[in-house]
Amino acid sequence: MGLIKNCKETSVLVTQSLDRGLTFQERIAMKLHLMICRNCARFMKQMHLIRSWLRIENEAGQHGLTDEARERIASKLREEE
Amino acid sequence: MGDPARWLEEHGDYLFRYARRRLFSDELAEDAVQETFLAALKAQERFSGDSTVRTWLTGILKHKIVDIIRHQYREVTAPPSGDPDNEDDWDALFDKSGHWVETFRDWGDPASELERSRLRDALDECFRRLKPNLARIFSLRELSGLSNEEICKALEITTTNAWVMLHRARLFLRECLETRI
Repeated sequence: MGLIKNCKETSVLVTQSLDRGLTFQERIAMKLHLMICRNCARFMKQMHLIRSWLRIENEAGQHGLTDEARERIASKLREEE
Repeated sequence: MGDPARWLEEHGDYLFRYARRRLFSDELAEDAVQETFLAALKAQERFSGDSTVRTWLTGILKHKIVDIIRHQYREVTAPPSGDPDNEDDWDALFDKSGHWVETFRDWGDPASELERSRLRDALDECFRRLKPNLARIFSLRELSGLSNEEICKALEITTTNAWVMLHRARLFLRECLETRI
């Protein structure tokens, strides 16, 4: 596997770096490309931003259980108790 | 531990929102909450008291969410919507030499409350547009925090298949968010 990657190959390494450990060689290849390619560097930053945004648990403004669902669950629990 | 009769009142909304965020459906989230309380009733004596009741219930809910996603995933995989061979939709992002066709914007991290709530709306919107099975696998990875191995086991797919689907989900979300934030 060569160390010179184009954007398409680098984008795969970038997303896989979020899902598994890259090999040493893959990591070097990714970093080499990111040093010379601003678009891929932005791509990587965006991938990390998406991950960090999704980790924010912000439930303010989200509706809770409806009265009907609440009643349905409550009666189910009474049955079981 | 708390009185089971008060679980629904004290934790119902919290658990519902938690499940809804990961299942993208009110109905499925309600099912998950109900299943959680039923399982908790049966396992009451196993509650150790080391954690709060909410943490304990959330732990049960997490398993229910994975179960629900697993069933859903299998139901719709007859014509595999996460077919890794179908690369057409992201091949178009690159030119013949493998360079990006498009130049990306520098997103920045929104600081203000308003920006953050707009961001939340954009994320929800883009998640809704994702193909269902891509949304499911991405939810398992990013919202439930499963490892690739755990995902492969739960969905009975290969490692490569999982990576390809996660890759496509990430590319799609990026594309969708680019114009909305």
